[in-house]
Amino acid sequence: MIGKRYYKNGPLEVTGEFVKARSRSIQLSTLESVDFTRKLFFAALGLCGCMIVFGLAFGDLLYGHEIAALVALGAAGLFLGWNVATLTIYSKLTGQRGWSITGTARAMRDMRSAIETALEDRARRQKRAGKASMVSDEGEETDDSE
Amino acid sequence: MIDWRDFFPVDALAPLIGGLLLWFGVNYLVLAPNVIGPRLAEKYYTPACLASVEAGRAELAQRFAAADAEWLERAEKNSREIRQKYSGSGGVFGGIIGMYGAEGQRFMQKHGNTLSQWGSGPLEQAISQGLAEARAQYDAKRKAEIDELRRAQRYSDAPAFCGCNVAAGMSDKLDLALFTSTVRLYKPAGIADLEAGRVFDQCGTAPVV
Repeated sequence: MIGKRYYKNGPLEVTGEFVKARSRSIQLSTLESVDFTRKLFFAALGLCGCMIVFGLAFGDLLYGHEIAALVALGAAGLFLGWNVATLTIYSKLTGQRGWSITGTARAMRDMRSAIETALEDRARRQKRAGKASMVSDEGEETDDSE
Repeated sequence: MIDWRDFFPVDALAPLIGGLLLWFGVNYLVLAPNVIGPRLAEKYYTPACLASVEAGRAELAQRFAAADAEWLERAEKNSREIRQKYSGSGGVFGGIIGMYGAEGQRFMQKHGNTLSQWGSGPLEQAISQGLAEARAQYDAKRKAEIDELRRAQRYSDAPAFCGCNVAAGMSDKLDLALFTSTVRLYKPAGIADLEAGRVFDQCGTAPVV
């Protein structure tokens, strides 16, 4: 049976059994944690933030169009950095290095929510299955005692 | 167990440091040597240096002019004193002749100028000779002073000297890149020296003569 599909966006997919992204898939049952970060934004903060400050601080030496270009490029870089995120999935197979997927922040956030929902459902299913097996075991024990 | 990564978010800091390093690289390779360095020199340091050299020249010219004026004044005063001291001899001679009454007076009226010229001619000659000698000594001393100043100079014109001085102040590419990448927060010694109007040894003294 194909599990329930929780998320699908191009090559990114989360089902009840797998997390798939481009060339790699990972079994949901092996997942330990999911981490959402904006690494590119911090890099952009270092590069593009300095660009903006540089344009303003050296305003006495730069032409107007140069200042405008620096500020615009810097702002565009920061905007881009904010909208690009990395989703790192840690499983028993990937270890501490994790498995990283980079995409738009919105897609990564949605994918993370989907993975969390899938994990919760899985845990609930397992709990239910566990209870059911306990009940059947108790029934068998009663039959034996009789 | 305490994980130091909980307190020091290296995951976020690593890209930040990466971005800052990239920014420094851009400054080191492009912005500092090709944009900010030449413009700082063009807008601030070279004009300030040229003005400083011009001020030095004006100050030296003023000092020389003042010394010349003082020397001339002293020379005139000395000449006057010598003339006053020795012009008495002609007066005494005239007085002696004048004692011979009307005839003596007539003689003085007729030949007084000649007598005065006989008395003052050699004196004036001696004074002007002395003055010429003193002037020659003074000029030689001035020339030695100028030669001494010129010996300490490496460049005879202000633009060449200022070009050398500004280049020397900005010779350290790493320092200049640190100055631009930290948006003037870090001021290296070379830049601070340029701002303070320091003259770098390798460029000699300012060409004020």
